[in-house]
Amino acid sequence: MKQNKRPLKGTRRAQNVVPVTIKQLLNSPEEGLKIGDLDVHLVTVVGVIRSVVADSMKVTYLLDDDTGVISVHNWVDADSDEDSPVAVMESNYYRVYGSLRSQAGKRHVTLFKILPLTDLNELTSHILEVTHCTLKSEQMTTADQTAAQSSNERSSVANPNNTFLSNSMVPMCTDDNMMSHSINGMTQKQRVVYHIIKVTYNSSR
Amino acid sequence: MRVNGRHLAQFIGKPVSIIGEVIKVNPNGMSLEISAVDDQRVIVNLTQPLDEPLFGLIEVRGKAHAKNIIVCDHYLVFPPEFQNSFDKTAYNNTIILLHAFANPFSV
Repeated sequence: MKQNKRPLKGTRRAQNVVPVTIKQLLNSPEEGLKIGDLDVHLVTVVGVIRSVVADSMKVTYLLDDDTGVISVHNWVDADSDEDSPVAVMESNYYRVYGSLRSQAGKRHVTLFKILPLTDLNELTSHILEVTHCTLKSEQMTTADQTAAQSSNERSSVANPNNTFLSNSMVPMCTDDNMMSHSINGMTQKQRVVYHIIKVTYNSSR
Repeated sequence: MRVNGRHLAQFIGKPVSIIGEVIKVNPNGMSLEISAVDDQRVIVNLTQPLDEPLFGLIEVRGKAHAKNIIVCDHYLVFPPEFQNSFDKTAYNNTIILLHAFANPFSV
């Protein structure tokens, strides 16, 4: 599932599904959610449904993960062509795929897909994916800056960093970044420590 | 904030979320005892009496009251299939990781 994208400097049309927390969605600036350097449109959240309100045009769910609550709109139009819509029950965990929208200053998510959690380990792995995403994008941002500073214009340097997000649905360890990110064996904590050491070393030169 | 049994002491008065297995239910229906993922016993006090018997894996959300007491606003019961497949070690480590960072979720 690895896509070989030619990297564009700076922003890039986001086609990746990014795991996020509701807090990140609520705190995102008006222009749209950014993780590190990249725009994020398609997100996945795992949370508990607090309420279900149906009206003629849409069904609104209140989705609550531990970091915040957000409304999710499921626009009802030609729903009949799908297989029977998922029964959404309150006080149950669901995984939501959707797109972040802003309406009258308030944020909400337009739903693309909602699925019940099949396994509680999905919750664990979602938390880990979000954390990984945040930290990795910080790492990428710093790495990109370092690459820009040095006169090294090899696109292969930036390339592995940008292909990261195209794998966002795939476990991260398949990445083979050339720029010293061959740290597939490192745990989260080790990567963070490594990153800190690297940044400190670079800034003290 | 997601916590484990041993973190309750640090979060007294703050909203927390904890997952554990029901050990016993108080006959008056106002409190129950759960065993958190790190095998610590936590007492859960409810604001409304239970209307159904609870057993299995549950998640409790509420305020931490004391080292091992939570006052519960909401709880949700997981279906029994979750209990069998749930990897406690992984969840435990995830929580430890969450607490290791100052701001794990925000950019």
